[in-house]
Amino acid sequence: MRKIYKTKKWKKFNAKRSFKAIKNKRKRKNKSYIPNKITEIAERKPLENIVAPEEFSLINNTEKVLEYFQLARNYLNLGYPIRFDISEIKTLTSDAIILQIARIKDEKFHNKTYITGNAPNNPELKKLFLESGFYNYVNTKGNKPNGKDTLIHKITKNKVEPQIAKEACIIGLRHVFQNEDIFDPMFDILIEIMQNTNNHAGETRGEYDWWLHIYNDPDTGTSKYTFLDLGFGIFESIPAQNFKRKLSKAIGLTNNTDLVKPLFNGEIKSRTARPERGKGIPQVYESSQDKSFNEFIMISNNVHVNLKNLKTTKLNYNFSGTLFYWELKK
Amino acid sequence: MEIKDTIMVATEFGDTAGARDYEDGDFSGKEFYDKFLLPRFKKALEGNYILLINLNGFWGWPSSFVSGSFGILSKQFSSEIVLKHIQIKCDSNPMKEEKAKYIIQNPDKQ
Repeated sequence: MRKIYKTKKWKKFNAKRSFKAIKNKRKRKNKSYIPNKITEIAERKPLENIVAPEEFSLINNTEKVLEYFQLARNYLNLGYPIRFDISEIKTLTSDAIILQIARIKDEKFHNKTYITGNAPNNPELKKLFLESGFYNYVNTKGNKPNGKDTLIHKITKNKVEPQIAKEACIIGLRHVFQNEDIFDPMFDILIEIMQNTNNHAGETRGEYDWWLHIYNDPDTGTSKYTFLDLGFGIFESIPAQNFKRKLSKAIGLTNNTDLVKPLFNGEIKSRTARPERGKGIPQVYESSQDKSFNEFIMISNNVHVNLKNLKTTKLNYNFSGTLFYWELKK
Repeated sequence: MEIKDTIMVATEFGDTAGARDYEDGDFSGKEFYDKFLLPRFKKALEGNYILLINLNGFWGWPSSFVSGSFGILSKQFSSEIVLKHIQIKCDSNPMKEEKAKYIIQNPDKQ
């Protein structure tokens, strides 16, 4: 026997270890058997079919389209899987498609609940829908239909992207004017609205993505641009809220439509309150007056405004985000 | 005073204008100011000559970019000195010169 096992220290250690082992054995023996609890299987909720309005166009049928997305959101919040059913639509514009893509990809919207969908039955609308690039952003069975090269859609996080702005301009200019000459008004608009999303869509810089979609319409020869983010919306942004507070103190209750003119005049300052800031949206308004823009719409929160004539409509449904839509024409 | 230096913005800096600050993304007005405008302007001031800013081939002239570059220059050196030593040229859009001049004269407004 090795000398170490005869030492007092070893004997004490060994006795302690044996005692522990016996104690544990007894404990195991006396342990009563508790069968595993049967975990409750969550009840699978039925799929809710959300039928799109026949005129599926956010810019032209704003209330109904917002209602459609609101209904979908309500079901998703309750944990119901949904189907975006656009099979029976009679008209379709590209802004609605890009909004649907953005919503499907928005985690705050889908709430990690299952979303499925279909395509329009109408062959012409189906063609537009398939070519929109929609299927590049969703899972689908079989081969993904290819989008035409006349359509691009970009998503980027938190930055102003001048090269994307240039590319977006060229795609429309080539289609409408058959050239690639520099067109500053549209480029400046893109930079300012990207910056607006970057700086004001959330509580902190770069919180929200922006989406840009261009549809070169072969029938009208126009290019249709949609730019959107799903942030707070311009009228719920901190600078607008501060301005609204001041205005309501001065003249009583106000609603967001009262903020449209001050917004375009540059009276609503940025959150830094520095005088040289907060000029982005006024520049968008100024550039939108260029005669090459056929139509220029902004939808944000509960406001729909046509920048060409400042016709402003208060909406019943809230659009949480900001969408700009314009058409470039010869 | 004669023109002794030219910044060919599209070839030296990049062919697109960005927004105001570095944190806004690439090609910001502040980047242009730090890397090109300020050092070349200082030389023009020391040498008592005019610095030409050539904008041919340059996409865009958003307020945030111009304010983030020429606005800062004007605040630092005063509008009189900046306008004395800077000329802006853009053949395709002469309005760019007017806009820059306005921002130089009113750096706090834009």
